[in-house]
Amino acid sequence: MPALRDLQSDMLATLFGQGDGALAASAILAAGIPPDERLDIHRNNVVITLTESLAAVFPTVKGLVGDDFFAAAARAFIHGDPPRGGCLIDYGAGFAAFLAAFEPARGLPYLADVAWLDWAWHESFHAADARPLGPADLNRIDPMALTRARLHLLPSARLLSFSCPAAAIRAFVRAGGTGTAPDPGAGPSRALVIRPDMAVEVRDLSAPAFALLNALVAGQTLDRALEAASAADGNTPDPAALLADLIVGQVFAGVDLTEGTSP
Amino acid sequence: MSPFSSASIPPREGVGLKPRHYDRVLADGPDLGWFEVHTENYMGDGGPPHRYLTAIRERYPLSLHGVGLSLGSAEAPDARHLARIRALVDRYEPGLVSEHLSWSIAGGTFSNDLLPLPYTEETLAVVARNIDIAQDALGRTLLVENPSTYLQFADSTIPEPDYLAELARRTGCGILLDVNNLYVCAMNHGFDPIPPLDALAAGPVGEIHLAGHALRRHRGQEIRIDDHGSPVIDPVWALYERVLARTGPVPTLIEWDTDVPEFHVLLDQAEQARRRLANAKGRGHASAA
Repeated sequence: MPALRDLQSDMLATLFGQGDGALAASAILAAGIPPDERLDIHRNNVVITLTESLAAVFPTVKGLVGDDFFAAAARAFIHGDPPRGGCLIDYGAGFAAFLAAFEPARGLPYLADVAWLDWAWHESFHAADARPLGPADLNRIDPMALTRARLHLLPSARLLSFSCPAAAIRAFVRAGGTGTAPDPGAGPSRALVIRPDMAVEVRDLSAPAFALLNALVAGQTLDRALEAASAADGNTPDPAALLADLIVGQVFAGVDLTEGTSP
Repeated sequence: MSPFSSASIPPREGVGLKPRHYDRVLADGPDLGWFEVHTENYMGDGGPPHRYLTAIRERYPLSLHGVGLSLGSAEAPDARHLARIRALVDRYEPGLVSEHLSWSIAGGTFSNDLLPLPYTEETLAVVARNIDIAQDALGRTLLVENPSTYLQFADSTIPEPDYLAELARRTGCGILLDVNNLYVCAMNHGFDPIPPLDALAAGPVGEIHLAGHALRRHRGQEIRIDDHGSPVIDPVWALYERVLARTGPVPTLIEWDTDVPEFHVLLDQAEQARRRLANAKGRGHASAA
């Protein structure tokens, strides 16, 4: 009998497609079914249950490519990047980057962007809850102090920029493929994934709104973030109006009025 | 001051809580003794899972059933995982906290499968050490569940009931008896489930699991897979009645994790457990307490 550590190391490796599990097989009773075929039951369990976990987190990716393609992609991902802990809520962070380099998906350049969006949705769903600031909260702050403040987004906020209309593709797939299909070649887009209460929302962002929020996430003060919004698009009508829209949209969780230089 | 009423799990029927049934449970307030959840499904920071679980915990006792701790690993339990369980224990004040007599992790990689252990003195010492570590970290006594297995190790020397009883003796842990798992093992490995059922120490049994399983064929040989995707079968109900005669009423869970049906199907299964629990009143160690 091999030592437990060696047995488990050999068995785990073969469950993820590494090695033939000969050491584990040598310790297993045959009894009607050969040891390697008994290990197959677990090889299948591992891939099937982890594929189901990924399918639940990446429903748009699965909807786009279908069951068989998804299963093949998931299997390759699972074997190369297995879970590193016992909580599957954490599993799948690397799937979008994997898909970007997955040779059979080369003809689907939008697939990785959609996977990033699915992952952001999943993160937002499980993120810490926080009460969004409303206009009344911000109206109490001296306007001059506010311009030098740092606004914190909700813990559920995820900012994303894509080379395709990923949010429109997601909406189309999630609606069951009805309506007019978005053109994957329509060019770049930006999205904010956020959960002001219990429902996750995916919102399109203009280039100035994205620049503003991106600057705030980077720790810039509000005046610097508003400058970034203006610089993002020469035709920006009014960055202050943009900010007002975001406040009404329940994007912010807190204001840091401590004076300090922007990083 | 706790926001929750009673924490302790009554010796009644409960069901595994599934997201598709959240609204139904809150709207109907079914007459069940308690609910159980998979601990790892609530390891996120916030969002709907916690909103619902809090609302349901305000109305029912709760049991936390883990699937990711890997008590049977040669390596010690993951401290970060233990800290996340501890946070849930502190937050929800569960009446019971349970895990499996199996392993899932080697070298830090998690298989998401409850893999079998050789039952040897070496592994007994490892599992007892890991239970000690976990119970210290959680500040709670664990219940440890007998697994469904599809393979056996040639060098297993300790019968499973003895192995579980010895774990209980060394660590103070309790036993979560999964009657379906015992039946699945008996069929897969060709033994009569009654002797090991009768041999199991009744005292440490703090909870019973009941579930359905799938029957597959592998090159002409039947193999039973513990998929929790169908009703409890009659032979498992019979084993359940048999053990209740010794233990008296014990908190009993209906598990249904794949192809989860309408809630009334789970209630019907729970009702069948309730009748048997009522018949067991006055029997076994529970009546002496």
